[in-house]
Amino acid sequence: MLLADVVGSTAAIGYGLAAIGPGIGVGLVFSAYIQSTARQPESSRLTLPYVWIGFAVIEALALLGIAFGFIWQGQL
Amino acid sequence: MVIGQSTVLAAAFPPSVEDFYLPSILPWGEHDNYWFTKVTLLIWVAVAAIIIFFLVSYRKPKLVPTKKQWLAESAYGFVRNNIAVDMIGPAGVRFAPYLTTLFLFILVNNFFGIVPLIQMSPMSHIAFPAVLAVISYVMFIYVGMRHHGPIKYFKHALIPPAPWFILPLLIPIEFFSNFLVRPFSLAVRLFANMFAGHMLLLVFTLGGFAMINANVLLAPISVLSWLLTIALTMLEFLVICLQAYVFTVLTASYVQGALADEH
Amino acid sequence: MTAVSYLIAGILVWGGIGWLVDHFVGTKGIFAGIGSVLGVAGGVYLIVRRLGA
Repeated sequence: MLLADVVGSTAAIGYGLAAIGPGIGVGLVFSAYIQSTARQPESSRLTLPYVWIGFAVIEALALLGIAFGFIWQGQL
Repeated sequence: MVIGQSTVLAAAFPPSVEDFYLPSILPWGEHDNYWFTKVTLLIWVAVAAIIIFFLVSYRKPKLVPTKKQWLAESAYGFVRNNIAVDMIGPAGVRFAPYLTTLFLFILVNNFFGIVPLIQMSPMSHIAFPAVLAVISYVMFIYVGMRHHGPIKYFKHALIPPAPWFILPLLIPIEFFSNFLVRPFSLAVRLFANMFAGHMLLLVFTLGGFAMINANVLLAPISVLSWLLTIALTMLEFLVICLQAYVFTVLTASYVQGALADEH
Repeated sequence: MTAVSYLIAGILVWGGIGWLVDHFVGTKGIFAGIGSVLGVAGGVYLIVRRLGA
């Protein structure tokens, strides 16, 4: 007996769920940078490289979410 | 007089890409020969306006500038100080004239998208941003090759600082990102922003009329839709200035990357 | 901007190569997946090297 059925593009649902985490993560990274620059403006130069490292690692997961949504449409 | 669409009350809803194909002006009403439409006319008007503005405001330059001279000097000074010298350094003054022309050309053309009765930005056709992106692309590669020498420029651009055994993994990524993604993203960023902005304004304007055509009781919601159109026009103005600025800043940044003398 | 461009370039290039390997070997999608992850790793490494400390 079929109680519930999800038809259509589950890749889109998957990407939507996969984008929650990186969205919060990137927000945390940039909020930390803004707050640290507000407390001590001279440190902005020192902490900027770490912003990019953090952004890269987090955004990688979000982009993998898009890529796998396309590559694995309805298979594997 | 034929404006872009037919009489507004009879315009098709929802708006589609077909609304961006304008009728040809010369020869009038042709179906196969689209070389001269409103878009071509707008590009010529933009070029003429910029040339005439700068020529007229520099006719008799005074030491204490008049209002028009001050406006022209501010426009050039903004691009020269905040974009060319900031991004490229002291050698950037050489590029300031081209970057000013680029910035003002994109700004004036984008601005035609929100002037009432014109309401069509030539930058919402992919051809114009594509050609501008190709010019920037050729420019930064040529500048890099002239500064470093051709082989050394490609070695400098393509080989990242990494141990030798990971290089085969990284060099295709560098090549794709530096030489394929850059011009493509320059063109598509400008085109997509202008296209989407125009489409958004079309949807809200025509939606108001479509709602009234469907059921007269929906008139208050139509008024709301038209108020939103006005608000979106102001947002569109912000997007117009921002996109012109971003295009110019990215061109300057690519030239700076080509001229860099690191490691 | 450079960060996102390296990541997307990594996924496209190595995901594309993985997809070509899939096409010639006959599997359904596993090499494209491995290629994408490799591309992401390469992209992150490039960002850390070029933009990081």
